[in-house]
Amino acid sequence: MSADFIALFLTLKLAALTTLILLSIGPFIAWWLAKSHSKLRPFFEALVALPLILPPTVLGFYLLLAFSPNYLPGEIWQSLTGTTLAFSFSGLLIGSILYSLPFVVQPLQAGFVTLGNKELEAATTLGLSKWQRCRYIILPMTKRSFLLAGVMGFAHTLGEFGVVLMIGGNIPGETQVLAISLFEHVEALEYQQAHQMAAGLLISSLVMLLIIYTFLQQKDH
Amino acid sequence: MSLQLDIAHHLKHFSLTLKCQFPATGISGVFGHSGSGKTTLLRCIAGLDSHVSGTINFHGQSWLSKTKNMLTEQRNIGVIFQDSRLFPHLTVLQNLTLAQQQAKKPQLTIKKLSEDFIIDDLLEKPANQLSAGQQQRVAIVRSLLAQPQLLLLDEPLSALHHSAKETLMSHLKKLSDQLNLPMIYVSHSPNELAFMCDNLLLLDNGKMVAFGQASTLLAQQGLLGQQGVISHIDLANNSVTIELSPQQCSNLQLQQNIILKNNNH
Repeated sequence: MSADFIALFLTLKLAALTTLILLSIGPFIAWWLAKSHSKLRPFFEALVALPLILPPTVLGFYLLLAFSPNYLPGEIWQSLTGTTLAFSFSGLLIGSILYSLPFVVQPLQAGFVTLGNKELEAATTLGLSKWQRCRYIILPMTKRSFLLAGVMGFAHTLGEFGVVLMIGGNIPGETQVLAISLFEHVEALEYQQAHQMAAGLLISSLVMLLIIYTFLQQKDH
Repeated sequence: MSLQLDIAHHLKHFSLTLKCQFPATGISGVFGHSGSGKTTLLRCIAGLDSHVSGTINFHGQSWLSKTKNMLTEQRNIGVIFQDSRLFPHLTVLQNLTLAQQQAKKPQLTIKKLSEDFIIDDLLEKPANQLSAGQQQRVAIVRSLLAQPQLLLLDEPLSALHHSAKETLMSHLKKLSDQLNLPMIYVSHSPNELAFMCDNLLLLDNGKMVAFGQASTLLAQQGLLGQQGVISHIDLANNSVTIELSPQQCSNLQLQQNIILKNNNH
């Protein structure tokens, strides 16, 4: 298998796992941000949104330090697994989760804010338990937000570059994702391969967004 | 057996403090001006408000105490809100079925109640495509299907036409008797309360003013009928002061107390 296909497979695997994990933890964070009256909420809201404006290299740099066995997180990881987080797929996954967090949390938060409390209160007075309210009211009424969050998280992870380069390096089959592979082709003046890869990323991102916005528009009507 | 309340609810600009006992049968009314605490009272009973302290006991079961605040979904109550709060992503039938699934021993059928409340031809419609009156009728049926042990109604008929109101009031009254289902009925309309309720709680600014037999209390307060109550006659100035109920005032869009001057003398 060519290095480019390996990079493609690794990128898809990274994006799928990142999206899956973010769709598992994101709703809880988004719910708290949407419903909490805590004075700490703006702080956590800013923290979640930070990757939107922070240069990826800044996040990558601090993650690289944290992943080092010289610091507590890296030390704990090494003592548990015997491996280091830096320059590994697991480290890449953690970096991707943090970097794509706002792309999943923010659409969900907006959905939960729009949902309001009225229908949930009505459901509570009918005797629906917390999980029943989640299953019959919250999830169906916010499924568009979940769809948007999933696609945004996946598409954003596909194009990741800065964080990946800082914490993952460029190890084929382990941390070399498409964006880095593309960078490598450009550096080697292999413009034809670079074109193929760039066009592939461009078209796939566009198609994903097109599908989601067409779906949302159809639902509106 | 009754609903016993001894509660305090404090917010920044409003406090409700109340100690009273609603009978656990029949329909009890709650009457008061806008902002007197009627809706807050129902929310406290339902457990929808977290700022409440004190005790609430129903049929000997503690819903609220110093050490306990039973979850709303465990109180087995029904609430009919001013706005119907149907689930907009479901059809009418799905709304009703979901409620019926919560009933511990379902006795009421969707078919029978749908006919009684004239929503049988709406069952397949999406809930968000109904008129306000239709939505409220569905909301009433939905609450009844969950078979609550206490039904709280917060101005449930305000979105309905006069003729529809009378029909629904009769149905609700009949169901309260048939199912032995106690109800607490909040309304701005003295006539509605006089028709529906056995007992009445008068609230003003978060405090109980009176509690007693509905018709007697409404008559004592001069709240029955279309006329106001003459509270003062000033022969020297040829003026009569007439006090109007909030309902009459809102109908006339006047202040609460008006002075009608006799210009002929």
